[in-house]
Parts: sequence; structure tokens; C-alpha cells
Amino acid sequence: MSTLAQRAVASLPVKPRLASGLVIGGSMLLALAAAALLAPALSSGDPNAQNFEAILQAPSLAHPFGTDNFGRDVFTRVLYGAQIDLRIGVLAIIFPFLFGSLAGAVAGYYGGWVDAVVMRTVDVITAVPFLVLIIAIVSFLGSGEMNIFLAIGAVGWVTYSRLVRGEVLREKNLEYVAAVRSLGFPRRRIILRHLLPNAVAPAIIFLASDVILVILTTATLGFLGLGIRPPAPEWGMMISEGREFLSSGWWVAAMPGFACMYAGLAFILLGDGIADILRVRGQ
Amino acid sequence: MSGPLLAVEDLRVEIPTRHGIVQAVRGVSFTVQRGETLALVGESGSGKTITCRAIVGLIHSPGHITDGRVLFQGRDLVGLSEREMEGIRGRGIVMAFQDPMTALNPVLTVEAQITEALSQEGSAAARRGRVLELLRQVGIPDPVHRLGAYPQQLSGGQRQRVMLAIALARQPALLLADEPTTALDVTIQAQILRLIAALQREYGMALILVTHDLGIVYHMVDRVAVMYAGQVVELAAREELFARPRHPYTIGLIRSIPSADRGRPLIPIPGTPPELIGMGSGCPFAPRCEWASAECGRGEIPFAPVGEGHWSRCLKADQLEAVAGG
Amino acid sequence: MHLLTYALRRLGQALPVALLVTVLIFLLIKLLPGNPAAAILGDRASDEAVRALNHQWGLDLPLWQQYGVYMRNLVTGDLGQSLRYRTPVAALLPHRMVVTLFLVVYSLLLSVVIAVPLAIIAATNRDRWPDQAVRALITLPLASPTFWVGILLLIVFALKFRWFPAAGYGEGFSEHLRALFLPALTLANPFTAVLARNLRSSLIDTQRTTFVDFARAKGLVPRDVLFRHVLRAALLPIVTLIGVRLSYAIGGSVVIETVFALPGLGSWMVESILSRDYMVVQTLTLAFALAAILVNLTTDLIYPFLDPRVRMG
Repeated sequence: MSTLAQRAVASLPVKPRLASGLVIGGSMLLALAAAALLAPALSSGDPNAQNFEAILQAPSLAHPFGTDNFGRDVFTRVLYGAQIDLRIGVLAIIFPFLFGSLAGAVAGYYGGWVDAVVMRTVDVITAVPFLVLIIAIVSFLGSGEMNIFLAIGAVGWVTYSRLVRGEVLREKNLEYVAAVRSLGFPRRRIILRHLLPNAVAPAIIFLASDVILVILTTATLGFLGLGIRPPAPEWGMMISEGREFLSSGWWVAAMPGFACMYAGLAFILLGDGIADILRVRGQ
Repeated sequence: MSGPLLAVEDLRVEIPTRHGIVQAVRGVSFTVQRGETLALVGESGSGKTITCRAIVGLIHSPGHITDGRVLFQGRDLVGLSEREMEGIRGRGIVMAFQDPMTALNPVLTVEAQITEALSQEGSAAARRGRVLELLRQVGIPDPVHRLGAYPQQLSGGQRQRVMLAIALARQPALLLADEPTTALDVTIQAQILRLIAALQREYGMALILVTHDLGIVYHMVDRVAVMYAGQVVELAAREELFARPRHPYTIGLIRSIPSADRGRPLIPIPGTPPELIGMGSGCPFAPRCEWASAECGRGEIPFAPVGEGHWSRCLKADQLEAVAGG
Repeated sequence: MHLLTYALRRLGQALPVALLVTVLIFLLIKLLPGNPAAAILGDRASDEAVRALNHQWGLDLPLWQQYGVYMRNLVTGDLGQSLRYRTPVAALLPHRMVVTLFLVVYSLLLSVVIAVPLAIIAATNRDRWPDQAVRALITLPLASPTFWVGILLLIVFALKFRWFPAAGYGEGFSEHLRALFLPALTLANPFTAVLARNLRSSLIDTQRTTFVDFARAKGLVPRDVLFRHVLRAALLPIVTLIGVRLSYAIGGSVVIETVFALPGLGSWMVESILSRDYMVVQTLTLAFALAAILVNLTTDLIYPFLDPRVRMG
């Protein structure tokens, strides 16, 4: 490409979609989080309140999402379910992000047998399909929120380590690293204060998709009857329970799914927005 | 048909970017006759390549032609539909790009890439024959065994030859060669240039040779257009340009050509070319010019005739007549 | 012979990983609180029954010997007994595997058939309304739980319109095609979205490359430019993507088979978990892992055929 064209392409106008992704996704998320936190105020207050006079009622003003086969208000359950799924989604990724990034950075920087050990471990864990491994671990450990965190912590870190290692390998050869080393800085300091901040960019971008992944995995576990114990209003479990009355009460299974989709969309938009910002700034 | 093969009239191209509008081409005018060779000379960023891309209609959006005409065989190419341009590319005008490594598709063989440039009529055997003939013409040894090769397997010089073979496949009337030797070793450069000259004679093509190195093309060209900051600043026949340069930039260029005469000093042009965003009026070379005065910074400098077939975009052109060139 | 060395090298990489995977899965069952035999037999089992099962599985041996027994059984094809069906696992495995394979391949084909045209439409109409529409369409599946999409499809197409059976596998090949359509479509969902999005990016990037410019400069018509140059170059990175995502798809079959009641490996795994048939769970996890490794190996081996640069690498 000609010199002028190259320079022009490198500074293409920032599309309006860029800022809007962050704004829309962020506000959707805030709305959801607020709704979840204010669940007691916004809804009937008790997700487990049964009412046999109002079984399987279609959505109405009194029950915006209808009721299920126990007469429980689906809207209330979805809001309380948001607390569960969002909480797990956000908390479960913390360890994988921290541990995975560090492992990847160390592996990439030191190379040699350290790299081999870390990457071999990553390969082995990646070899088993994600969902299968999570299900196997959770089925052996038993149900409960803690076990979901354990399973995801044990498996979820590998993607982060791959991403960060790739960046570190690339950065390692850049000139500023040689400059810093020639000043005699110890390697640990180089990793922590110079390489890591730059190398975690792709890991941060991946965070948003990872939250979605965790939420969907939690829902899947709930759907299969693993993970959260009933009668907790976890979205996946609600969908599973609603399966039995698809013809008589489709809303029981459908509504939690829409909530999930809403949350997923919010995170995707947020993630794209963050990615665009990080990419643009990197230029 | 009378008249020049190609006439570019006051061409202007703009590229909108985040930092502002880049005025990549700010008034380029020249003509090329049938069979003639024109050198388009200027440093990186002067707009040479974009001018060529504008001629064949291959400017990537958001860049676009904002003004001017490109008359090819009397027909204005600016504003033609893509479909109409397709009819002209390949047969009428062909552009050979600067770096053959990126211009050739790495996953297709040499034969495939030449064949697809040929007209698809006739038998496959006839086409293969033509491919081999083209490879021989561009000087590829043992062409039969090169048919199945991939671009990465060839040397830099061979890739350039293959690109020329592709360009010539349909015997175009005009070839735009963008820095055909820049990516090559010095020893190969001369060979490629000789090849281009020979092919041009053979096919009777007109040729626009884009380069930043005035010295190497001196022997090949009929006329020279010197570009600076998106404009053609001087246009003249070869000898005329070297004997009587009438633009300070051209004078500077000629002075900075290394010569075999060891005694003569190499005089570089002080300063750097301007950024092409938010350009004011006036001569863009003025800040670096030893003859500039106040009036050089005002208004658009007209591209005016200063002799027979000799044009210059300089208010001081007459004063420069006294300065000896070469 | 570059191709052969490449293949051997890849194989050499895959084998140690496969071996380590067996170790990982072998150790996995140690996560069970307490004794596996006790866990499986339940609270009401007698101590003798537990001890007998323990001995049968060699669980009273030191750890590394247990692994030896485990591997020996694996290699000789003794995959244990399904407590629920009271038949050897090895006997049930092939048929179930066929169902799952059918589902996964079917979904892969559907993905490609849907994603490629969508990506082309989006890329050639960049930023105009068809592109926006495609991009919006693509984002939804990525955000939603796959099994829920399956249920929605069930509600609409199987229950309401009755075009497809709501459950089961059917008899005969054409029945299979019909029965597997909705599940395959559901499974294809996330992959189609990822594929279309990546292919669109790849196409857009390729369109701006110099060799595409040159192809246009030498006078090729747009259709030739698209198919001979742009698509070929843009598809290459997708092949590796297929390998990676296929692994997710294989995992996804666990849920989809449950939703649509298909007799495959996935639903078997869920049944085994619910009936605490833990040894079967372990074996099936291994089966899934080995299948995924095989798939990745295959895509890696196909890649050089498509990209001559790797052949000469």
C-alpha cells in the first residue's frame, strides 16, 4: 500500500458504534445489576412463595412473567435468579484471570522447562471439552455454589494463560525490554511492572466473554440438575423445571432464558466496547 | 485516434481520517502518448502511488477522487462504474505493484495467477502456451518447471518478472509500474529495468515508471514528472529537465544524485516534506526553498508553461533559468 | 517429504497429551468425597459389598498401581460395566458414539452452510444495512444458553408446527436426518455465530490486501476475485477455528442430547451422573477427550493441503 494510504488506514475514523457498545452494554448491565440488587423492592419479595390458587398463569399485570406450576411468580424468581447467576459469573472469573495471566506471563518470559510444564498442563486440560470436564468435576464434587467456583477455577485459567503468554512472547523481543534489562533490572520486576501491564490487554478483552461463558455454564449445570441446589431460582434450573409444561406454560421455561440472553448481550456489547478502546489506544 | 493516450488533468484525491482530511493528491496533471515512457518521480509520501491507484480506480474507501479528470483514450475514467472500469483494467491499463511478495497470492501457483489474467477464450492448451511464452519473454529460465511454483519459492527478481508477465498478459496499452526495482538488489535492478524497456518496445506500450530515484531511470524515459506533496511540480522532457530544471525541488533532487564523478559533493535537500493534513495555501516546498519569498506562501501556485513541453509550479521559474543543472 | 514430517511431528505432539489426559481423568474420580465404591453403591450397601467392589476395581492398591490397572483395562477394551444397564460399557459405546458423531458432523455442516453466505453478505456490504442485520443476528446466539434455544426451537417447530419430532432418534437414515435437524441446528448456533463473525473479519481484511488489489488491477471480474482470491485466503484461518470450536460442540452435545432425548454419548453421561454410575462417567469423559484430540489432529493435518505455505514451512 502506498505510504499515504498506510498512514490513513492506521488512523481510520472511529466509528460511532465503538463508544455506543460500551455505553449500551454498560447501561444494560447496570440496569440488570440494579434490578437484581433491588429484587426485594421490585418484586413480590419471596421467590419461593407458593400459591396453589395461581398455577401456571400466563403473563399479566399482576405477574409480568406469569407463574409456574407451584404458583410462584416467575418475575420474582428471575430477579432473584439474577443475583445468583451474576454473582457466580463475576466472581468465578477472578481466580482464572489472575492465576492464568500470571502463569502465562511466567511461562512466556522464562521459557524453557517452566514454559513446557505450564503449556503441557494447558494442553491436557484443553484436550477435554470444556463442558464435559466441568460436568465431570462438579458431578464428582457434588452440588453447591462453591463447587462451581472450584471447577471453573481449575479449568478456566488456561485460556488466560495462553493469551498472556502469546503477548509476552511477542513483547519479550521488543526493544524496550532489552533496554530495561540492560539497566540491570531483576527479571521479576521486568515481568510485573513492564511486561504484564501490556500483555494483559487480550486477557482483559476476554473477560467479558468469559463472564458470559460462566453464566451459561452455570445455567447449563442448573439445567442438568448439577450445581445449585433447588429450590434456588437459578435460571438454568428454572428452564429445566419449565420443560415439563412447554405446551401449558411456555413462559416458565422461556423467561429465564430471555433474562440470560439479555445479560449475555450486555456483556458482549461491553466486551466489544472495551476491546475497541484497548485496540485504538494501542495504536 | 489522435490525442494523448492518457491525460490526467488536475487530479485531486482526499482521504478522510480521524485526525483530519489527508489531501493525498492536490493537483496532478500530465499526459502520456502512445508508446511513450513517463517517469513519475518523488519521495515517499509524495502521492505517486495514490495517483496511479486513482488512474486504475483502486483507491480504498474512505479515500476518493474529489476533482479532476483522467482521460484514457479520450474517455474520462473518473466516475465510471466499477463494471466499466473492469473492462479497462487488464486490457487498457495495468498496474504492477511495488512489492511482488504481497501483490502475488501466496496460495496460488504462478501458472494459475498468469492464466487468470489471460482472456478465457480458446483452449486450455493455447492458454498454457501463452503462459510459457510470457514467462520466456520476461526472462524466467526453464519456465516449464516454474509453472507449479508458489510465489514464496521464487527469488525477488523472479517474482518481479512474474508480475510483469501477469501485467503483460493481455498486452495493455498502458503499464503503470510502481517502483518495480525498490524491493530488489542493486544488481537485479538494472536487469529488471532493461527487461521493462525491452518489453515496452516489443509491445509498443506506454509506460509510467514510478520511482523515488531519478538517477536509475534516466536512460529509459522520455519525459519526467516530478511530484512533491501531492502535486506535480515540474513536467518536462528528460534532457530538458536535467539541463534546465525550473523548480527548486527538482534542482535539489538533481544535486543529490550520487554521481560517478567523485569530486562532486552530494547535496541533500534540507528539511522534511510537509504533513498532508490541513495544508494551507502556497507552495508546499517554500519552507525548504532557498529562493522562496513572501509571495510563495500565498495562494495556489499555478502549473504554468515555462518552455516547449516544459511546465513548472514555481513563481520563481524564470529566475531559476540561470541555475545550471546536472 | 515435508508433509510426512509435519504429520509425524503433529502425531508426536498429540500422543503425550493423550497419555497425560488419561492420567488427569484417572485422577479426577479421586475428587469423590470418600470412597468411590461407597458413593456408587449408596448408603444402604453393606460393608462387604463395598469391599468387594473396591477389590474388583483394585482400589485397595497403591495409586500408581491403580493407574496401571486402569490403563491395562483401557487398552484391552475392558471399559467396565454399566451399573444401570448391566451391560459392558464397551458394548454400548459404539452405537452411542455414532449418534453423537452424526449430531456433531451434521451441526458442523449446517454451520458452514449458514455462516459462509452470511459472512459474504456482511463483508461485501460492509457497514450498510445487510451487514448490520447480519451482525445483530449473529450476536443473539452467542448470548443465549444453547439448550434454551433448543427448547424454543422445540416449542415452535416440533410442538406447534409439528415439522420435526420432539424427541428421539428415529429409525432409518432419513428419519435420523429429520430427527437430528433441530438438535443439530441448536448445536450449530454458537459455532455459526463465531464462524460468521470471524469469516466476515477475515474477508474484510483480505479485501484490502495488495494481492486482491493486483487481482483487480489485472482485470479480473469481481466474482472471480471473490472466490479465487478473497475466499480462499480468508477461509484458511477458519479451518483451525473449526478444530477448536468442534471441541466445544462435542461438549455441547451433552446438553442437546438431553433436551432432545437422543441416545448418544452425552445423554448417557448425564444419565450416569444422575444414577451415580461414576465409573461410566469417567470412561465417557475419556471418550470425549480422545474424540476431541482426534478431531484437532485431523484439522491440523488437513490444513497443509489447503495452505501451501505450511507445506513448505
